[in-house]
Amino acid sequence: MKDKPTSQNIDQPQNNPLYIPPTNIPNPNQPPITKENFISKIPTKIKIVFISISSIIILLLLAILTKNTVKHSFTKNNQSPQITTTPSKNTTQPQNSPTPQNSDNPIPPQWQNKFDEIHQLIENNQEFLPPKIDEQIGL
Amino acid sequence: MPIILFLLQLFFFKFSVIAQEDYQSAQQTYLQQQQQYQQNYLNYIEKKDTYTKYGTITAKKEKIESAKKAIISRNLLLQYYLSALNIKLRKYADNNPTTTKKNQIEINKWIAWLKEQNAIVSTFTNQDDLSVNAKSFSKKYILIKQQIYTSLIQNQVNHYQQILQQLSQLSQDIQNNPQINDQAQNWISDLSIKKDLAQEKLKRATQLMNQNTQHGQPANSYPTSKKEILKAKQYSVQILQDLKSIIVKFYQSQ
Repeated sequence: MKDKPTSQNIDQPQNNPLYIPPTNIPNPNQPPITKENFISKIPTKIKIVFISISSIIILLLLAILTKNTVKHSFTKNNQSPQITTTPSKNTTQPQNSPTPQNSDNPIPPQWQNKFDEIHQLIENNQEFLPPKIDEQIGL
Repeated sequence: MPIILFLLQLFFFKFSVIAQEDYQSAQQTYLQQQQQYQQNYLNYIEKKDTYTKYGTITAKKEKIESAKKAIISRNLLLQYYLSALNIKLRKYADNNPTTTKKNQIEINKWIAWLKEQNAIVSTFTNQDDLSVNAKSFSKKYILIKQQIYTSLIQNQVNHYQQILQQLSQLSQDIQNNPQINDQAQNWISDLSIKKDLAQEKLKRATQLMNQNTQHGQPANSYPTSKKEILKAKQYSVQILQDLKSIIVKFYQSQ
């Protein structure tokens, strides 16, 4: 007579021959990992260095932002002369034109000379102010 | 016919070169006289101080002689300055021939007056003559300054009208060129508005000068007139930039 098999519940993991027990068994004595615990583990020196570097970066960013805001408002106040009459058409450079045929065209030589001539006329215009004199010589 | 045109162009080019050389030579003469005046003036100040300290007859005589030399030197300096200014006015005078000629006539009158003054001053022998002359000169110099600043503004107006004329010619050439895309036409037409605004500024500069001259304030009006001239300059620069942009965007090379 065959031995009556002992009753085994194969659903129980420990009775399952193929069951592999977990290796990471949490230590019940170890406190749970929280944010505060993590921060408190970092050495004080490293905390100080990190805070200093962050502050410097924030200050630099603020300075750059402020500089750009001031520069923008300065250029806005110093534009070319205010037009006294309102022109009916757009007089600015052609920026909204349709796709140009040749966007990187150099200026042809027959016009470059004329541009240079006019440019010279504008730049070489020097004032010829009167001399400083004593009007009261002899008094 | 083309030969005649070429010869005419050559003649006017040569004339403008001669005019430029004349102006440079006049300017050189003026600068040399400026040094002479400074020397004579410093000598006069020294003699004046000596007389103030010691009060001797010799010191008084030396003071009078040095004052005469300084006055003559000063008047000669003004003559050379006005001559150079007159020559400078010749350039681009065609842009405003009537008002430019009027300024040149007035300048010549003052040059003649200064020559006359030098002849008179060379005959002075006493302090009283010098004192009377100094007071009279101070009053006249206000009018001379008035004329100088009016002429300077006139010269600037002529100069910028020449620039605007050349810009008009250039934009006309670009507009008529078959290699410029039709789309550029509107942009080129718009530039005439900026040109009109520049002309307005030049007109305003002359008006301000004439207005303040009537109230005997020539030196005050020069800076305000100059501001209007600078605005005209800014418009000219903008027009030049716009024309460049138009060519870059719309020129079709074949």
